[in-house]
Amino acid sequence: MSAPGGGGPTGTEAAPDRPDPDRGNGAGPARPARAETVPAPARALLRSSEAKPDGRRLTLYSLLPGPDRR
Amino acid sequence: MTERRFDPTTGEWVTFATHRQNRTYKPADFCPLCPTLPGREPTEIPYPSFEVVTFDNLFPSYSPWPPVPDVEPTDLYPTAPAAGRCEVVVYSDDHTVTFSELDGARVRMLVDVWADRTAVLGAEAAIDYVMPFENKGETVGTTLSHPHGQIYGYPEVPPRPRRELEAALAHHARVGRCVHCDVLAAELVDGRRVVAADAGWVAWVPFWARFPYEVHVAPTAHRSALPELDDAERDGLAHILSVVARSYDRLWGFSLPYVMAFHQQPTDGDPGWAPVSHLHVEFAPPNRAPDRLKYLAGSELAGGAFVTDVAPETAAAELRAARLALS
Repeated sequence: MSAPGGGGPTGTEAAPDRPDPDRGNGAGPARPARAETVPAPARALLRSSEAKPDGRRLTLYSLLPGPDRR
Repeated sequence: MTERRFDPTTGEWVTFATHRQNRTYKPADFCPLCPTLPGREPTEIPYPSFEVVTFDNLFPSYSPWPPVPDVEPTDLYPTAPAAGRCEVVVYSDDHTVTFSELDGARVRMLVDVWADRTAVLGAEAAIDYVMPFENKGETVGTTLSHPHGQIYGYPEVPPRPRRELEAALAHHARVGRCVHCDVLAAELVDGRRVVAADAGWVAWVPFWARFPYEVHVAPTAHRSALPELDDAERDGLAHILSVVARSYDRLWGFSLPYVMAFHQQPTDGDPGWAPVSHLHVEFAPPNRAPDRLKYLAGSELAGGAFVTDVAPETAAAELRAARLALS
């Protein structure tokens, strides 16, 4: 077992910073709702993320746009 | 208190989330996962209808904004913030259905959602492992009956997937192949433990099953994580997951509880995992008979040594019969 923090098969100690497509870098308030098409193969999966009043993220998924929901 | 503490006697982290003691527990007349209807008390989902919704758990074990640990770390006792993310996945706005009762299109959509959440959470710097899972039934601790699962974004690879990966690394070093690829090839040749095999996916009771009716599901092609799956592979996964869930319900004529979890490639940015990470789903029902549970007791909890009451070949034959009886 690796030491606290762990390491992968090639000895990586820490992952590089990666952007969070929904929230920036994982800190701060969520962005306002937006809809985008997720690149699922041959399907149009619609993803719409928004912030709840307490800052938690909520994401709606649908296969067809629901105009009365947003 | 929300923090991680390191156990120097085992080399594993334990997460403390004491606020979860107050989480919603089997509410009698209000479901926080139902749609919010006009004039009614708001739920977690502020819409009158929906297909699939994910949201940050109100009582998370891991959070993007974890507090500083309450206790000071020492050399012997390291501590760390409980960084990560815990999401709830609501499968449907129908309170009464179970995963096995969802139509094929909804299960297929869930596969896309699990893949998308894996990509989204896995891209967060603090998350090294994404594990979608479902606890189904009060027997395994479900506190809300509305059909839903969860996704944990862990700050490190959890112990059981890590042990699998370490074993896979050792196997790969010895024979130059993925251990799951070898297992799947062997199971398809043998056939006695296979429950279903279709469209590039296999469901089987493992040779080493720890739970009497444990079933694993994996693609015959080496795929390391959900986002790698193409459209046809996602179709196949949705179909076989539904077959396994419906076979469980058919087995003894009631909705069988289980824990279902995805194991996949860590998201720690290390490309070395790819050759040894083989995406698979593990179903672990707690029942060893219709009216008897398999308890984790002395040998399993204290020794970590599982003793299983049903031969995998017998369990697979029963589950195959249940599958064949599906209408």
